[in-house]
Amino acid sequence: MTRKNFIKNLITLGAATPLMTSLFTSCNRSGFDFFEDFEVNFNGNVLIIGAGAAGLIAGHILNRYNIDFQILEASSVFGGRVKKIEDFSDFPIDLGAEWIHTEPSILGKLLNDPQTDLKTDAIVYNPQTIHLWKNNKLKKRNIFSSFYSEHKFKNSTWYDFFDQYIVPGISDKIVYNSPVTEIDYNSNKVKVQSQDGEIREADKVILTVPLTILQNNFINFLPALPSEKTEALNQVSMPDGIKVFIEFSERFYPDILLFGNIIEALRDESKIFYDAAFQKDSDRNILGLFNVGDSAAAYTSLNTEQEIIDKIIGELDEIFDGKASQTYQKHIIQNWSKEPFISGSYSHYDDYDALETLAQSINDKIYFAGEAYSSDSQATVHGAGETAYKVTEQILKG
Amino acid sequence: MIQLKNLFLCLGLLFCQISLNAQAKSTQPSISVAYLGQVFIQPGVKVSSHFNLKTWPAESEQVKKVKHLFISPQLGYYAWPGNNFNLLANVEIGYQRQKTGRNSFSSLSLGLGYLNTFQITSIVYDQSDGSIDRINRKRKAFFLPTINYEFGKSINNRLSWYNKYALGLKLSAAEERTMLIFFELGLRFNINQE
Repeated sequence: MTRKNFIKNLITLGAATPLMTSLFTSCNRSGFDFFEDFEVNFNGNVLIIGAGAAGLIAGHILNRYNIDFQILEASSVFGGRVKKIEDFSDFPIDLGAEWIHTEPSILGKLLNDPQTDLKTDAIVYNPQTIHLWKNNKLKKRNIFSSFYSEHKFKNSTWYDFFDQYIVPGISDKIVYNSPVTEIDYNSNKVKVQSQDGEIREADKVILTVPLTILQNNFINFLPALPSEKTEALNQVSMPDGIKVFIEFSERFYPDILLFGNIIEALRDESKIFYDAAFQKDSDRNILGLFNVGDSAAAYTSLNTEQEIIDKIIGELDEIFDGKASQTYQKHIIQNWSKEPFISGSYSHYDDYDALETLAQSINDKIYFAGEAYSSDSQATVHGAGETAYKVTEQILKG
Repeated sequence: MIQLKNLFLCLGLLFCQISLNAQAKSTQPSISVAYLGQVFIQPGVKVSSHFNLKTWPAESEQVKKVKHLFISPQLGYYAWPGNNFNLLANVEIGYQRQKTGRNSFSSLSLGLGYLNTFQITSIVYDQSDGSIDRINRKRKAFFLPTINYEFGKSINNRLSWYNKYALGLKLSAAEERTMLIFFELGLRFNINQE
């Protein structure tokens, strides 16, 4: 059951406890269980397609077992939907994945290294002022601060975790600017062709590209993907997504601003304005906008950044009596819908059978990893990492 | 807000004074121990004492009733694991109706509390084994006026159970007010009862 489904079920049961996950995930002083070592029955080579969270973790594991592998990344940088900006404020800002949707010790588990010196300072993200914009009125709903709590990085980001602890060990295995155009799995070896025409062969392929890449047929499969896979792909969506950070000279906004029905807003987390500097020991007034789903298209479909920021400032002015335009200083926009090789936010499932179908390997040659294939933690970085552990274990056990 | 703070301080001192007087004079004091839950699920415990300031009988045709004006000083603790823990000192003044034939009682009261919240701001994890290296906390203090409804039943002369619901407002000069909802389920022991 996913976190969102769990929350949904709680609400359905009338428990009125939409975001109480932290109640059940108390401070865990005893740590975690590492992923278990296993006997390796594989001595071939692996091609990982995509250097996002799942691809990098998969490479990290294969590297540990001295397996021959390469990571083909379509863009010029690693990270995928994990991205940061360092110089916008006095703290680093996650332009992509930002919250840690589980116990922060998950980083150590993903790293799986008892010798690591990594220490993570994680904010207990429990916003105290929760306001709701509904029917053109701003309403205080601070009572929900008793239900809503998650974790965020204090002085670092998801990107820093990969940059400092995962990528250094595998950086020489990442090939940038190599979008894959064709995967031929007719013969024993899988042949992977990239845009520059180069063909690489591998015994196994781990495909970690966003769902949109498969849905839009950017990769040609030979033979074509099994029909149950293509049907499952049609049942999944990866809607629009955008993040915007705006600096103001004064703070006029609450810790979180939600829209519409409060329960649905907290459950779906589809559009929120939030104090991005919350608990960051920052003097700056940085307001974040996180918007995924249908409502995000109102911004992502606009042609220029100026149009997007004008629209946002206009909305904030309406809510906060013109204070946004009076105190605006600067902004940064990350339009994930228009990001090449991403084209959206993260996976949304209505039918979880489709997830299981999509996660199945093809002919024990092509394996799938990423947030979209996580049955427990879909739409999260750690969910993506856990699927990487799952498929590499399948490959290495033989 | 400063005026409000002074008003609450005066009221708090007044309540304490009344409590001390009541403690000295009351012939039927009682002590309660209860499960305390903020929004039902943030668990805690509350210890209360209960002194009748005034008692008068009221006899209707069907049932015999006794009415009390009471004061109840209380100490409470509740926690949201992994997030915060809270210490509460509270005084309630209320009106209780007791149906002597049915051994049941209910009461309505107003309370004034001083709430100390110890909020975890961040946690440092040692990722070599996932253990917690350090927990950073911040203390915040609030006034907490409440309105309370309680009902219960006597088990015998010395012991009764009760269930209480309270709506409170967390007030501070530094933060926006926030409503809190408390649930209490406890046992009350009558002292000096034959």
